[in-house]
Amino acid sequence: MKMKNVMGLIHHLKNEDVLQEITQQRCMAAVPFGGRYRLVDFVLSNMVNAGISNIGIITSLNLRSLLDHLGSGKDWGLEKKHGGLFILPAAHSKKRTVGRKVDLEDIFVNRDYLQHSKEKYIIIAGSNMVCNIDFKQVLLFHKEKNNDITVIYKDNYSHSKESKAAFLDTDEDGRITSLQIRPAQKKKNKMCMDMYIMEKSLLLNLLEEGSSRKKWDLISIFLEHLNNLKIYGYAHQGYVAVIDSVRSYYGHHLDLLTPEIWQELFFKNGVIHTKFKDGPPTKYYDVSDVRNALIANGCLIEGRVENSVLYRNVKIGRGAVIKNSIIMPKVEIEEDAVLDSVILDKHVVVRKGTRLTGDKNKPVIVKKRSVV
Amino acid sequence: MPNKECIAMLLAGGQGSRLRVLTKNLAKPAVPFGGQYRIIDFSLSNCANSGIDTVGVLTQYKPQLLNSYVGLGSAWDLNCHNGGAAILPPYVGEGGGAWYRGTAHAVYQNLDFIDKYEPSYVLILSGDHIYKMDYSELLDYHKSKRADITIAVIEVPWDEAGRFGIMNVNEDGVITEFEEKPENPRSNLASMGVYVFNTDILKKYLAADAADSKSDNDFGKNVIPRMLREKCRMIAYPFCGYWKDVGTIESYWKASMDILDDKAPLNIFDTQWAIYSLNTTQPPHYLASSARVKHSMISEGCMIFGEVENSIIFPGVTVGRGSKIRDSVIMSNVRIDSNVRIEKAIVGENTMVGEGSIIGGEISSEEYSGIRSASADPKITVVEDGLQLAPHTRIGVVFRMKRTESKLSEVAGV
Repeated sequence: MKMKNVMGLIHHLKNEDVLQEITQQRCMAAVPFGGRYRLVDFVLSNMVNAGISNIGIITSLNLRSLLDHLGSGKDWGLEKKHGGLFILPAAHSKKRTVGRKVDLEDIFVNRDYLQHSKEKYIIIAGSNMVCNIDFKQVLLFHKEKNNDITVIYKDNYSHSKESKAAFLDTDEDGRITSLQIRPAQKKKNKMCMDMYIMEKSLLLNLLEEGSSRKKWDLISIFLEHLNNLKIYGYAHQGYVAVIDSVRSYYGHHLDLLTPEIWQELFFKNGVIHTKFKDGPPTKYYDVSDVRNALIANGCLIEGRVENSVLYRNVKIGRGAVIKNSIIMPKVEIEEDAVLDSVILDKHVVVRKGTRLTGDKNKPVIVKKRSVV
Repeated sequence: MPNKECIAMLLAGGQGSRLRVLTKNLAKPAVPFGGQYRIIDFSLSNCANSGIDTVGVLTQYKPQLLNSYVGLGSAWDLNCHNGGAAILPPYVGEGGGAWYRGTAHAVYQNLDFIDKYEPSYVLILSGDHIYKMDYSELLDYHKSKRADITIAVIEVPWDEAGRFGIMNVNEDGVITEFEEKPENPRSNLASMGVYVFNTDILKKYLAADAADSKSDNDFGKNVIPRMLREKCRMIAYPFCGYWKDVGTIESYWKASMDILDDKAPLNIFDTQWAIYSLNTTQPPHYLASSARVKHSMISEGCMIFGEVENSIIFPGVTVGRGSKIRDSVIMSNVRIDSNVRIEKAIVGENTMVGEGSIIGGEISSEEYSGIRSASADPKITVVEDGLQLAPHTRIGVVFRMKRTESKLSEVAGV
């Protein structure tokens, strides 16, 4: 399968406030995930691992940490003479855009980039669907079925109440018969992963159509074409973490403590790339007691850690106890602090003996650089 | 092109045969160290942290891995428009070519590289030492002493002095005597293999050395003694930090345990003088509920289900359920199945260890109950890279029967 003929486009998510304090200073794509990554790493790596080398990423205004993270794209192998990584501005329309799943206006303002690109096909995907998927297989399916549009979905997905995901129905052949955001009936459990493949020329046509009628939501446009375009669903068989609430963000972190999920998400169809950082391994002291935990490099652990994820360069003092928690980079937890069900953002300092307890359904979030 | 004040020539061609199977497939500077690094990272990082941005890396023995590892030096922030890291292998010219006959000959063959930058000073380094050193301070010292050559020196234990180039200095720090690997050392001041030369002096003495058919073309054996005979101004620069020549299995293992020490004399967690390396991205490591990790360093991409104590685990290692790793160094991507016991061993990259195997250590016949023999320190067992050890393999184990049994027997080691 020649993936040289495919370009990637990472769309900008409109629901950035769902992660509360975590997305206060960063866009969704730059949200830390999995102990050393940012959400965008997964979709970007899936594209790169499939052999795609021309990738555009639409950004929000809150983009400092994303730009810092991506740099030239070198760490994803995207620093190239031809193609590579393109940072694209969003439309920043004053109208309410939150409801849009994939915002065509954002793509429309960047249509020059699409027109200049030589690739025939385009994959559109967001960064809040964390998975390790082989896009080569999806393209193969797309071509074999002679589809106009292929929509990637996850079957048997049990969605939570706060989920804003779209769900779809297919006929026996896999052709999509309906597509709805927050359907009333529970039987619709084919969750749309907001990942689409089509020919670039078709997308450009849809953009013109959307532009002429100021209709900017890709899904609503699809709905109008269910009969005259071959729109098929492709079932992703593996794990997917949908990050659309603090609860799911927290819960999916703890999913990674299952070795099978760890193995699949980080290795299955290729490794997940991220910004390269130097640092020593993690040091465990005589008194450390760590079980069922995911630990990044550069940590110094003298305390007890259980059922938690530690990002890079976290320090845990003697006698401290960390349970069911997500600890982001460069956090310092002093002696005898006791933490349960908390999310500590980067550079947080927890003072000696502090106790912080959240709830598994409502973990306590401590903002970046706070001292508690 | 503006000239550089100082460039470095890094000698990385050595075989390091005393590291036995660790250097079977790669050069000594490329040997993995410290859970995340290769030995050469320390010298290259020192260059970067000292503001030396031009480094010629002289390679010869099994250079493939080393060459691709160093590349353009970007992992150490050495890539720049004028300079950077350059791999300098032996080459053929109009007049034929030659392997590097010795350290001095290697540099002599690459005088063109030095001339390109017209440096005032040339720093000669070895790629096989573990240390942190600010070469800019060494250079300042050299300049302030108006020396022809300055040699960094460190006090070593008297019983080890015979392994080094040993010198005597007067009260002004001027070197008065120099002996390479003396049988009866008269001082314990050892050369660290780190020299700063004035470029013109270096060129003069390399040319003289090359013209001498009796010379081994080695800095320590030939060039420095000749300079001493000819009354050059030679200064010793006393270095007080941690420095380890990891030339033997014992010193390699010792240096590994040093880095693991809670009061590590060489702090790799210091961000002010970071040690850089080239690594592939791996996810954070996973410690299962059954894992027990004490006094150890564990790197990315590992999955630990067993027990690890006083050991260094490189990236991508799996330690199965019920396995016990102790006092050992396990290199990248080693897979250790369940109920394996590894004690005081160094296991090379990509080796698979079948279940129930025993590697290293000195063990009584009731083994698995974990009784440690009180006898002398067991030797270090080294397992080659890329091996597939069948289940229940025993390597390097002195297998002792109980006292009540009639005889002592030994199980063959490697």
